Amino acid sequence: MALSKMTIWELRQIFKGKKFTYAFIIQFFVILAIIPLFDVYSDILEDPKEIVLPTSNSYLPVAVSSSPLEPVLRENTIFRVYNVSEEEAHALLKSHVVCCFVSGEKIIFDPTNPKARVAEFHLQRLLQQEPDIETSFVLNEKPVVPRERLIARQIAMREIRRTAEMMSSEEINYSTLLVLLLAIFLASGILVDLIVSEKEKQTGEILLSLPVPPWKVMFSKVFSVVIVLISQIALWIVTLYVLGRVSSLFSMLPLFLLSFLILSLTCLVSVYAKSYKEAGFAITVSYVLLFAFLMSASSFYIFSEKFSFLSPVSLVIMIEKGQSTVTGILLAALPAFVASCALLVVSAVLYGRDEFYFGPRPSIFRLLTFPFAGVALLGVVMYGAAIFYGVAS
Amino acid sequence: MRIFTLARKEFKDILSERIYIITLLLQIFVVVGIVFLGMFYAQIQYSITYVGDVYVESDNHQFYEQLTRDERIRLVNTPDTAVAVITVKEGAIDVEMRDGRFANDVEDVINRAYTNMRFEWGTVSAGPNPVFIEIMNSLLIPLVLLLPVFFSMNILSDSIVKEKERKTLEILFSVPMRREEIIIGKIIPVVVLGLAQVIAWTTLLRLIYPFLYNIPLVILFLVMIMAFFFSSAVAFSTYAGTMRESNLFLILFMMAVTFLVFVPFPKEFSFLSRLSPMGGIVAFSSNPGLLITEVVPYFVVYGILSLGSFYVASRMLSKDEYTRLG
Repeated sequence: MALSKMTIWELRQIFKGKKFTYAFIIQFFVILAIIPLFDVYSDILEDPKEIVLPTSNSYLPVAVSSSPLEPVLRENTIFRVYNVSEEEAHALLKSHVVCCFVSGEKIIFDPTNPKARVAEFHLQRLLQQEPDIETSFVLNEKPVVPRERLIARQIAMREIRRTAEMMSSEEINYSTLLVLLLAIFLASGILVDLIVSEKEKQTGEILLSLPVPPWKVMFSKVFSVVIVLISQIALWIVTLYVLGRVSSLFSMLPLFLLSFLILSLTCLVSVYAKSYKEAGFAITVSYVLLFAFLMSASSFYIFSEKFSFLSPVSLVIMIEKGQSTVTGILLAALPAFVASCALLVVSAVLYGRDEFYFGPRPSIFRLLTFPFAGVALLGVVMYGAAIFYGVAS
Repeated sequence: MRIFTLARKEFKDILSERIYIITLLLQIFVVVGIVFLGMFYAQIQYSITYVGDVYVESDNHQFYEQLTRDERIRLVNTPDTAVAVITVKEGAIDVEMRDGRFANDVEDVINRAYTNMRFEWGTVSAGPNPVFIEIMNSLLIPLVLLLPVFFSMNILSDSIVKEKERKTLEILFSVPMRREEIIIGKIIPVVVLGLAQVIAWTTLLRLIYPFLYNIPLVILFLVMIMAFFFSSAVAFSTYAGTMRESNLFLILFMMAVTFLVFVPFPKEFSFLSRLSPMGGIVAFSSNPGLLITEVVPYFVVYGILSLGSFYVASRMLSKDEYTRLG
């Protein structure tokens, strides 16, 4: 039976249920709705007064009695304003219902309520005005500030500046692309379901009795999910490009690479797992480790282009900054692509072995014999050599 | 009594799955990580706003008093280590800057102190950074307390779908129990586990951050939220034909909840945040004193939502078309 025929069959199985199909379509729009969320947060950075995070809404309870400050307090939704008499206000203060009481131009705080510190912080900021006095500054440089504090301040300011730039920049908006990781996880879930359900429902025996090599059975499942995922990513990137959220359609490339890597890892875990629970847990741990590696590795790219091979996420930075070259793309894409192919080959080998379906399944330690351990070791040595080369040059 | 028999059986099934136990333990790292995230952010804010030692000579006592309130500076007795030397004389302010990088911050400190002199400020006790307090109270603590709810929804959903896939749901229905009793029997162990986690995280949080209030009320509110969320999970998983569908519905539900919790609303729609479970947890846990008129609406809203979702779940569980696989 042709691989293409089996793939199409698996695709039909994925969308067999109407409920799943409708929910799948809904999730596309839900994820798309996240995009305006970034715009809103970007607006907050520009004008914090208009929008309040829901978790801080009415966070500071304040009693007010005949005060010109009341409009200012009501203007800011972080305050919950109680317009009461003096007596009631003092009762509220005493029972710690409010953290401060504003009467005329007098502000009294509840000394035992930690919110009083927050209220003072916000009030001091909000009530500040333009002074009607000139202040003269004279510079007389002296090394009075400890070096550690200067460094800490520089790092903090750089982090905040980067975050603000990233959120407001239309070119370097790869934070939007990270949203598409949700789609990749969804597709991985479908792949887990396709592979593990055959074991749980014991329908895989029927598949294995067919005159079809096991690797074809496995790859038909993988390819059907890949088709779904590629279609989703392509649709999203085109939509984002039209909306001006990404500057280049080539942004699809690193996403495809990342999807391929995640799917191949998911495939390996699903082949090895005995049940949904096992697969779910192993995949969660694998993803956490993978993403920790990818994100931290991509930060090396900021120091030197020679480190671009460490993570396909570097490609996103490269493309969005307009720094992509053929060599750079190859360097960034090849290791991830090779690793993905290796994972799929190993999955296919394991899938074809009876013990992974019928049991008893060999332990992970027994699996780590030559050639797997040898290949893995070689890969680690090569990576280490490449990192050393990158650092040395 | 049959409810408790079912609940006991479900409880044993959950505890027999090592993965659930490991997931529970992994949450500890998430909780600790979240707290350190709060501390990190507060430290960043402190690093960029703190000026340091400032020496002041002022003939305006009110201005000097106002400067003492500003935690961005530390007033010192001698100008030797001062980043800025501020002299206020006959209405004029002169500043000698020892480090030009802090000029804008010093100017802001002076402007604030000068313009806020017009008010009479009461005493505030010393304590943690106010940014840290706000982040912990309004975001991180509610997030930590809702974590067990989110994790547990998955356990419950798996339980129902697995019963459908193994065809043991029909056997369960043959037992002389009403559908509502079955739902309660399945929800009880998950609630118990969720509550155990909430109590554990509350205890842990109080060690790091002691300003957690009204804990029994918070726990009661969380039970109500759990009733709503878990009944919804039962409804979704009953409606779903397969594990895949069930997971997808749960993801959509969690996305909707995330929007409600984290989407910043324009001022005109800020009342919508009252519907957020985080809003209730923030209100109860962050303030020592509460008014009954403010507590009751949260319980009413989530009481209605819980009853509604429970009714939907029980109706769906009664229909054969939803309980059969496929």
